Amino acid sequence: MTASRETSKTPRLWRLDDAQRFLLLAVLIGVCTGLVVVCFHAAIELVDLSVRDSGRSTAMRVLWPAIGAAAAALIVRAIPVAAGSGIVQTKSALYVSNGHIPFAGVPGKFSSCVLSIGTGTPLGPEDPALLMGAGIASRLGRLFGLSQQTMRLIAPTGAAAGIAAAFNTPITGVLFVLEEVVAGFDAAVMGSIVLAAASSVVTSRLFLGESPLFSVPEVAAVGGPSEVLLYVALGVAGGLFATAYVRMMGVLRYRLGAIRLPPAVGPLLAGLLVGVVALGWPDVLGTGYRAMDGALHGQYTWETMAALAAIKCVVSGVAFGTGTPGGLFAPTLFLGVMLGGAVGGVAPGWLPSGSQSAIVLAGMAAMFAGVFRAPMTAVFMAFELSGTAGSIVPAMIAATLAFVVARQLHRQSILDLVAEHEGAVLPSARLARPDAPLHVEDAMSPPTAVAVVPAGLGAIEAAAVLDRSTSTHALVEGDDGRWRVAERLASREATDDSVRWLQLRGTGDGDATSTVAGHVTDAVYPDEWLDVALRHLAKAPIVPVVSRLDGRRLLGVVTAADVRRAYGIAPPPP
Amino acid sequence: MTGVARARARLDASRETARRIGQMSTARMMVVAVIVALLWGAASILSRLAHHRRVDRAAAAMTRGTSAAVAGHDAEAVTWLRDAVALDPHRPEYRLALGKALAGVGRPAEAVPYVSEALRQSPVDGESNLVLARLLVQQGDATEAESAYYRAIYGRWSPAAQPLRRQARLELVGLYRRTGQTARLRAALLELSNAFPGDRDLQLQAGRDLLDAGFPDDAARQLRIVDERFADPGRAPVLLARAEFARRRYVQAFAVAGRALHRLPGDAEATRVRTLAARVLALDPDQPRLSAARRAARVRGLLDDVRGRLSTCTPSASETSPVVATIDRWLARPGGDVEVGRSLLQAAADDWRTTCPVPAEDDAAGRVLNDLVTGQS
Repeated sequence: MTASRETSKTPRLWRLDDAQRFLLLAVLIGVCTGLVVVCFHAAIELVDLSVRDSGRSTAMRVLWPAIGAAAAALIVRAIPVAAGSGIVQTKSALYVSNGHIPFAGVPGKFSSCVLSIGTGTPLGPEDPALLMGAGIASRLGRLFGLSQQTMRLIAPTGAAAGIAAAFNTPITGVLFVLEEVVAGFDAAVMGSIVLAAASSVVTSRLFLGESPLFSVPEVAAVGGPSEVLLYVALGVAGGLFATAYVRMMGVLRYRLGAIRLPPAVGPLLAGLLVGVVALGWPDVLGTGYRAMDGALHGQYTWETMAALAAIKCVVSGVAFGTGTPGGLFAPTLFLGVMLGGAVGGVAPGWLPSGSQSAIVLAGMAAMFAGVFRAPMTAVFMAFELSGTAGSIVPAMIAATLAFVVARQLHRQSILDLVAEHEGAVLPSARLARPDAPLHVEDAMSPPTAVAVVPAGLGAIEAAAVLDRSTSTHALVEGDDGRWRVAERLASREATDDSVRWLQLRGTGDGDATSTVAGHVTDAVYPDEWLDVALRHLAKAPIVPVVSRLDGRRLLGVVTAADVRRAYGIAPPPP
Repeated sequence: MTGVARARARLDASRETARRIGQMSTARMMVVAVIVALLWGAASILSRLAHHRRVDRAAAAMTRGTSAAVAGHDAEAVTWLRDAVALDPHRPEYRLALGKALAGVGRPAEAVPYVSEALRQSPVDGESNLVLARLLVQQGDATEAESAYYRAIYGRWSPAAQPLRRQARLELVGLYRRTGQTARLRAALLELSNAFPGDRDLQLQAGRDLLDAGFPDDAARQLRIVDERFADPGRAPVLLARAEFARRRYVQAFAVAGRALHRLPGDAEATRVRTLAARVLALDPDQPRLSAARRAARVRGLLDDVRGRLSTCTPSASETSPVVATIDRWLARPGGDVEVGRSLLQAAADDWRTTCPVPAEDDAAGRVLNDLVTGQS
């Protein structure tokens, strides 16, 4: 009695099952991540405004990015978990460490990125937001004692919340995590990711407003063949540029990372380079959102946009290569926007009036798809960041082509490259092994390999079938539609005894197992993993393979020998 | 220890565990609630702080941009105002100012989204609609521009911006004039004059525009009101004289032009109208109270004139045209019937109208012939 009273004092949350708790926790993760991202954005902006107000002298303009980058690097040195790409840590949490991400990474990433990005380092706040979201989710999951199975899924949930709040784009947050982190559409994690992303966006909008990141002029619908050709050209150009960018990042990260320098000196030098370059090209500083907005409004000539893309490519590569904290989303979007603007400017006659912003957005999607190899995210990102549905078709054309071209030319995405540099080998949808898991259809033999007695046959006909066969076992279809596996000779004997025959067919008294040593076995489908059939083989020597449309239609059988042959352990039949 | 005692001990232990779990869970929930509250507070403070800093900088950029725009430095104004909009995107007046500046540097397509966004935030704002209408005119979208002008005219205006409401009407009139929509132009001009009855210059402008657009009756009515309503009607009498002349009311035109000359001695237009009206009156054979001899003389004079015109327009007319031959016969007979001559004049005027170019403005005889054709003499 007392115990039940004590139990009734337990909060209701704790009486929910693990999955229900996970969903509720997803909302809490979203709210917390949204709040942290709001603080993050506001802090970066405050630092940025303070730096701008603090002095416009040339020396200070050069020094600020260097000071900020060096200070950020010192923080990372003090809190090493704040280093690196947040996506790699999140994937590690999913696949390796059972959802564990050290919470110290959250304040570490927060403070280091506020200092670096706020003072002008040409990197973005989105990937850090992703890591912060994953870190918060991991901490909350541990706090609320989720099971190990659920904990593995908690980091992607927080990551989605982080991305969604950083961009004010819930769909992009969900899709990116599904495409890049989970590497597939996992139903188990989908609901929690969506809930977390939605709640983080709602929370951040309470403080930051509902406007999309970019205010885009009206986007005209795709006009004619020449315009489509231009998007095709942009897609190819995006794929090539993305490949060059990823390769350059790889070279810079390995080469610059290999140079032994005292702590924070690398980021300091990178910051100085950024400061010097920014004297002539201030638009490359920081996230570059304002410059992107300007490009969307036709503020630059195509030559300027091409130059900005090239310069940003170098400075962001150097900053990232030297280990300055910051993310790669914003620079990639910047490069895409400028690429799109430059391509649109080279062939202005091919674009109808009002399509300038469409090609700029398409360039953004193309570059994102090429660099991160997440084309679906790229398309929806172009849509959500601009708030214009007219951008979807151009973005689809350009992003798909850029993805195909980039994947053809360079196997790794930038995240795979970063993970490799950090010494991790994590699963990736793009880097799927050629020897993929086998399906039932890869191993199954035709039904003629064993004696098959369909449901409609009488005892005499069944005896004839069993006599004709040379196999050791027979598959007998019961009148209840289920398949039974029995030794062929025992089955043959059963046909002579009406009671045993009926038992074998599942219509008599008693169990067929006890009378003719038969086993009722569940059928499998051709598209199922071979693992499913293997589990059935532990109970019966033959597993029937049936059609999904008609469960009585036998398509084949799987035996242990078939499985061995499929895996190459046994030689194929002559 | 007996089995019962052991069971009781286990039961107590499990009760204790459940109690601790309950307390721990409550404590955790409270910790999380406190953390969320703290984060909420921090987010609120930081976002407000950043917002205030941003708003201040945006206001400074707006001031600089507006000053640059006033000074005519549109490109510089665009830069500052773009900065202001980027920093504080929720202020429709910043977007509107940027839209105006962009229109000033000839980039209407780029300006439209800014103005549209400003309108989304304040749909009945008169000035935003006026700017949008101007941008649409620049883009050649007359239909949408017309709608925007009407929204501007009937929109909400601050007292200081009332002159712009008048400007919206004038620009709408200009749009109709440029696109040749005369019926709508007439309606817009009449609305314009009704909307600002105390504005003499506007009334005069409406009258002049009605006259220029080919609505002399409305113009005359409008200008007469101005002439009567204002102590100093300005050029209203001159314009009224023109309107009366256009209405073929030559006697009134002559009189009003005389009155205008009395008010504005030496006014060229009044002089021209008066002279022309006098000449028309002197040539017109259908003027009342003319003696038979004078009427016959006028018919003869006009027949002689129209014959010359027909011969000039069609050199072979003297040999081929039956009308010319008949005129020649009638002119050769000194005492010809005046009514026959009048009928002949009518027929000749019809021929002249179809074969000869439109007469000049100051061609009094041409005017009379024209009136004979239209039957409005």
